[in-house]
Amino acid sequence: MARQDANLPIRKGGSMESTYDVVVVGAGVNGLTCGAYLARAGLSVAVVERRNECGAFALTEDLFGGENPTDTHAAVCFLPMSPVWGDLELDRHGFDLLLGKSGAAVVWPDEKNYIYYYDLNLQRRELERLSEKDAKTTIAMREKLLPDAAELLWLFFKPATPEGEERFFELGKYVGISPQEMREMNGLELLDALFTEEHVKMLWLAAADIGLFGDVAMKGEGAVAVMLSSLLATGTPRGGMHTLVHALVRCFRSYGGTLLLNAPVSQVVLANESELSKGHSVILSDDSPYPGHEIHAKQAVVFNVSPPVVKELLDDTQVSQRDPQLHAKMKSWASEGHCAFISHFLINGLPEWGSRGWNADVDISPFILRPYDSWEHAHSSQEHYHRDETMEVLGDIAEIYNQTGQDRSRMSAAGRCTLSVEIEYPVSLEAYGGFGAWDNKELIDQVHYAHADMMEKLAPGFKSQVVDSLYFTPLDNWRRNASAIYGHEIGGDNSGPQWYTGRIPPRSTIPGIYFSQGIWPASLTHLGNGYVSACVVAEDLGVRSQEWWKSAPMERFIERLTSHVQ
Amino acid sequence: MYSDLDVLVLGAGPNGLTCASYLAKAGAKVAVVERNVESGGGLMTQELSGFKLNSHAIYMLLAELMPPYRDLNLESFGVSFVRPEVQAAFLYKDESLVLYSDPARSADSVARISPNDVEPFTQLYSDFRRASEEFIIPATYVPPVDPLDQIELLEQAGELGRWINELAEMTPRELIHGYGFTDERIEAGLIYLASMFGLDPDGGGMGFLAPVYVYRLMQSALVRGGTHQLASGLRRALESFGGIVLTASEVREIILDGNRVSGIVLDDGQRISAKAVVSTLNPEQNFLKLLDPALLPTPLVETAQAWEWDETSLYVVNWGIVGELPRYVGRPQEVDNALTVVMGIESPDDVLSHFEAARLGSIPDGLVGHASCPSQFDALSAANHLPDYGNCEVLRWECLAPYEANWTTLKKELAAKAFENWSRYAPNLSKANIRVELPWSPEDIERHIPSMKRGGIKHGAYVSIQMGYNRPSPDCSSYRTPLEGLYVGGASTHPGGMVLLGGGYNAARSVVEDLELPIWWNAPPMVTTAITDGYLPEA
Repeated sequence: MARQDANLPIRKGGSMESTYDVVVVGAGVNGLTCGAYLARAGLSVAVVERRNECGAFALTEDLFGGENPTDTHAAVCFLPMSPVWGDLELDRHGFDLLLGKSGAAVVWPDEKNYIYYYDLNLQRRELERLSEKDAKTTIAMREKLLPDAAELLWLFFKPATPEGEERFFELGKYVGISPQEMREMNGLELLDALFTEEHVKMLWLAAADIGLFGDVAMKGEGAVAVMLSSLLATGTPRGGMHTLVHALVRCFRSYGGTLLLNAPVSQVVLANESELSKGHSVILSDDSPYPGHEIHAKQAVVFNVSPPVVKELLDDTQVSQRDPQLHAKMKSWASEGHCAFISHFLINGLPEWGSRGWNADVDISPFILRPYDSWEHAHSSQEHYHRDETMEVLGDIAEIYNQTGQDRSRMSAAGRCTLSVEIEYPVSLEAYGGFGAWDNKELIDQVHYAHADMMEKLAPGFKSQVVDSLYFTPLDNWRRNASAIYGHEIGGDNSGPQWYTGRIPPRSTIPGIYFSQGIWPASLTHLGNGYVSACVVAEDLGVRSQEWWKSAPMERFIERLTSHVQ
Repeated sequence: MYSDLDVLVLGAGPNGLTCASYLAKAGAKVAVVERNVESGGGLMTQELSGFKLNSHAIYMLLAELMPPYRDLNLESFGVSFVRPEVQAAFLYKDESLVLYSDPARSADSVARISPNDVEPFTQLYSDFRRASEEFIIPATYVPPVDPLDQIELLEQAGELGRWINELAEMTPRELIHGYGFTDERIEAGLIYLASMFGLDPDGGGMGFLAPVYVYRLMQSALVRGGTHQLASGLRRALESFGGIVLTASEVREIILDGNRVSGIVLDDGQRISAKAVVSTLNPEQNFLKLLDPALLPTPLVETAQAWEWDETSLYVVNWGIVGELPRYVGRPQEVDNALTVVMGIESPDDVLSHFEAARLGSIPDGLVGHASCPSQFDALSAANHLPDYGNCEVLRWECLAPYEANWTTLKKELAAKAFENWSRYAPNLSKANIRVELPWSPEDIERHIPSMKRGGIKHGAYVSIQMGYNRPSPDCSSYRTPLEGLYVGGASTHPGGMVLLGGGYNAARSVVEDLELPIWWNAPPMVTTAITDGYLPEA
């Protein structure tokens, strides 16, 4: 026992501590967010993480030697939409989010492009070059939508409710579509109803297809996703996405939070209802540097890992008795929708976009979307998924990260930068022998080379610029992040039966058991799910009312954007 | 946030974090400034696809013997070491030498190859161990003593002291050769251990370092969870005492008012003042770049200008594989369990040629070098939560390498050659099993850690004029510099590099004394004993 005690983390003042008000399992960005809010609200909080570093998918690594920091997974920062940026004063903790006049662009192989400007006049100008009629429709819609933006975005920072769902389907009112029609339409059908020009449809589909708000191909949620996509705002963290993690860690630690790394959890033992005051126990794995160590969570355990992982950590029988709904949801949780294959290229100089003649601002756009090849192709793409036509999926939306275009600090002294291409592929690979085929070198090399070919079409000469490259398959992503079942980057599907009210509630009916993954909203770099879980825990523990806990979505963004313009 | 600082430490490597932790615990308000996004310096572990890849440091020579481990209670901050029983295996053409942490077992392995060499081996081990434990390791954790005084002390201290004085005049190769091994393969193996981190086997006056390298490479350890866990632990210790680390903050200038250092300017123009600045950077950075040489005492500038960089650098490649650990064919079973497996040497001349090739700029061929499989000893090194999709392991290859080469293409070619060579010994290694490959060249070392100029892992050559009291120069030997308020404490001070934490530990004491803070820690018993025995001066 004495040896066990020697392993306890020491807190300020040197006293041994293995009891906290709150224990958060999983130090991804949302676990840290939840931890930081609760620590700032005065609770004692420990965040435990199985990896040796926080920020599971918000990683910046020197992939190509000590030359260029590369965001290996999450590369787009949605914090401009979020209240977290302001509340946690992330700027003060060393976070520098670069906001250009646009966060993203679309490029086509036909040498056209579209820059998603924040400024309405610039937006109008660009849309008119594609279609005057569609430009008019879009601007009219945006002008009606913008005054309600904050209110709508609040729906991303609150638990899902039936009222919220109604509000989502009322979005049609901005374009003259009834809630009932909205429920019956998918994203493509809505775009067909609103617009005439293919490029316009494709650019809005591309924005909606990032998957933040739901699946564009699903009825109802697809239409909602399209309506909301024009509210997307993104930025580029100077120096890499991992700087966000560091800022969150600094913030968390500055309020006395404890962080345990290399500390996989082997189980969470629920306290009986009669002895809840003792709290639940989080037991660390024998592999950890704190083998078998037991941490008591007096008030709350927050699971910032995906529901199937939680299921493994808890006693199944107890959960089924004490929260049957949660039990059923965890059991049926789906993570097989799609998964990302990401190719990283080290290139000489910046890419020479073939469409720069159309609008040269494509050069400074950090996030480039390559939309479907044609509108017809967009319609048929879902079938490719379902038929497992992996190489056909190559024609689908690609997310291209060229952050050096905006953040020149990422350019190496030798004039090299990294560019990444991400495409979502079918998970199961049944046609190739199952999910394990994501380790089949022949297949995955082929996918990777095809990504380079695709880039060559969009930026002629690209392949001759490439110095080095590597890629991460869905299986790699799952190996990296045990919580990312099948490599699913947001902890499970965010559509159909798992959309909005279909997600796991942040507060279970077992006292003291909370979730920040698998909940609404899906876990992304807007940190909304960490925020929502912090809200419910703080409410339950009576610490929600804080002078500093007051930011609204977009508030900090607008403040920063206007200060940039002036 | 950064006002009223007592001490600014430049560089969040092992020495910077150590120094800052001692100061913070003494009550100083401390901030560490680090250019990289991550703290740790050479204590790097990159995690790709669940494989923890130690691109730089991996073997911990002193591990829990380092005083900060106990003083800062690093175990409670999650730092623990794994010390495999089978320490090293040498794969000769027709034989295998296996060295264990238990010298008796090593002697048995020597006996299998050459019974006549058991006696010299046992003598060498015993001498090296004694010299290390009684003098060399304790001397790591005290400020260096003026060479003439040190020689005098050792001369007076008895037989061991006189022997240490003698070996200070020898080269590592001469020292080992002097034991009279009859089988040159055994001699070659021991010389390899002495020189595998770039110590010149024929380096004059460097013999005194060979005992500690050879002895401790038979006692070496891995940091559980990857090398970076040591940095994480140090950082958490520092933070628990109220210190902070400012990452992604590069120092542009050290502010000098007259003869007094009063703070720093960061690259973004931010000025931070402090009563003292401790730099763990190299002499060139300190005295030619961050300070205006025109305003400095001439000897300091001359030291920096004349600083000799490491003669060789290192090449490291890590692989994450989905497959089985290497199984060596036709070798004793224990080889499969060795922490370090050395390939490609048969004689002392082979070791020397490898060193000379790196020194003179020849490209390594992937035939000479050493390999390790950290995941074999540390379950945290490779994520194995997906057993259905194969077993994951981490492999690592390392060899001495020159700085100047076309590393951009070469580093991948060398990775392929080393893997191919390794698989000749262990045919179950298959290229098709590689899922991630992370080669780290001398250029990468320098790009990632600019204080390691020319890929110099020790911040400057180990030559007698740059060791001990002369590292970086006699006027900085107390870790104080001629500039008031400026201290040095990195690998370019005594005891040098190699993750010993000595520079940061010793520098902290000078700063604490000058700031009149409490010295809250006691010298470790090994140091007090060395003082009692007369090897080291009274404090």
